[in-house]
Amino acid sequence: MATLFERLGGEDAVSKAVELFYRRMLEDDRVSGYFDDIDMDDQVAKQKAFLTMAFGGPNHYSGNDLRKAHERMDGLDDSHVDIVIEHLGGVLQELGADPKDIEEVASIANSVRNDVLNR
Amino acid sequence: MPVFMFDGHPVQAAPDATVLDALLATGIRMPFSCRAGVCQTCMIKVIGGSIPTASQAGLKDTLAHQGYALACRLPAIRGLEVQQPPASTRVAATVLEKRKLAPSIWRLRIRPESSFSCIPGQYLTLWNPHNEGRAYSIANLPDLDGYLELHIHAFENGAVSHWVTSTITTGDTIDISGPAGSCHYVPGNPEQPLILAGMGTGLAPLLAIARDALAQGHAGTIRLLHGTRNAPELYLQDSIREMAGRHAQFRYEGIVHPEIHSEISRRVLAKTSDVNDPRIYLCGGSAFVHNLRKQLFLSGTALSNILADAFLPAATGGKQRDNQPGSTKPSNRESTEAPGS
Repeated sequence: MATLFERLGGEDAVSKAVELFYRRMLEDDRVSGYFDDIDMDDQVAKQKAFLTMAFGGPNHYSGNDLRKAHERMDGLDDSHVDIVIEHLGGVLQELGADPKDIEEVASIANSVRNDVLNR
Repeated sequence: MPVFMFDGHPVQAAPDATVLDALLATGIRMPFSCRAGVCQTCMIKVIGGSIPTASQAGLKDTLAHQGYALACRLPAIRGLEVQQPPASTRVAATVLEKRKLAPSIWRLRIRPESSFSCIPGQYLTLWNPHNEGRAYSIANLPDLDGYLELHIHAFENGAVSHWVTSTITTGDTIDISGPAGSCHYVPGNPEQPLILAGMGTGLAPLLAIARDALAQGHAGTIRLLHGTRNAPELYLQDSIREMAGRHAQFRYEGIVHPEIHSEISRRVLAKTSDVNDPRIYLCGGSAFVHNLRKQLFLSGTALSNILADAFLPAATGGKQRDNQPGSTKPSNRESTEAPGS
């Protein structure tokens, strides 16, 4: 029985998804401001790590890593986490993923909500 | 307050300070330039304590293996012991030629006294007698030409550029270190259209990359766009046109425009959509490079096909690095990883 990560396509899927996801975030005015002063290559590397985790792949984050990473962002709230989940779903749909798997990814992303929001 | 050792002496650091911050705060004249972990001017040797990976990013693996790290990326913590790198990381070079190419642009040709291998498009650091270093791109094919060519924008108060323009003459010996940078030609896709766009002395690495591509038999079109605000700064036009005359696949556009950022960006975006799967090289001030990279990405170009070499202003001592838009000081870099390198 293949794991979620395997079903989604593993590392290959992450590589395809990361730029699609990043583009959506940069084009979304509700969140794009948070990426203004960040080096794109750095950001893509971080997003690859995040997507790997969200797709059920190897997770190298501690709760503390996510807290520290988002600490400095002013005004971050539930709506921003929702937007990330929305774009994750959009990208996976674009890549033809199974709706049940998309739901699972959403719940993994949701599981780190409180760390990201420092709650 | 953490204390670490520098050249055998204890140095007190503010919490969360980097080794560079702490040394400068103590009044130690540690060389530095970009403060962004890119130019490698602040390279230091770690002789005790652990070395975080981030502080070795971009360093040659031989240097990383020997414990070298970037002081601006090294957290100052208890147990860390560092020392200034021995002068052996620098190489002496003889000045062969110094020539003015434009009102503020000088060409320097130098011959290293010992082996200095580099990839066209990389940059080296030039050191003045006050131990201040600045990074300049290698503008030619050193293996073929027998010398290293640099294009230096002269700034009135430029720590190195002023010294170059006012003091150095042919026959002098100067110190260089490096090279560094990953913005260069990568063989393997000889039919891929290449678009090289640069502003000011951003032309330097792009010329090297274009020549390198041609020398390696690149068959796809190579389009070089060079932009400036003022006509006199469109330098080396004649020799680039001559190069275009000799190679059918190489095309050159020298662009002078009051709104040069948007004009050159507009042309790059147009050309990108006109060709199939191009690789784009961008070089110049960071505002121009980052903005165009983002626009290219948003219009569908993969990041792996956008190689950016952004010039960062040299941070003045004691102040936070000012990386504000509009700056075109060619003193330091942010180079994108070339895949396969």
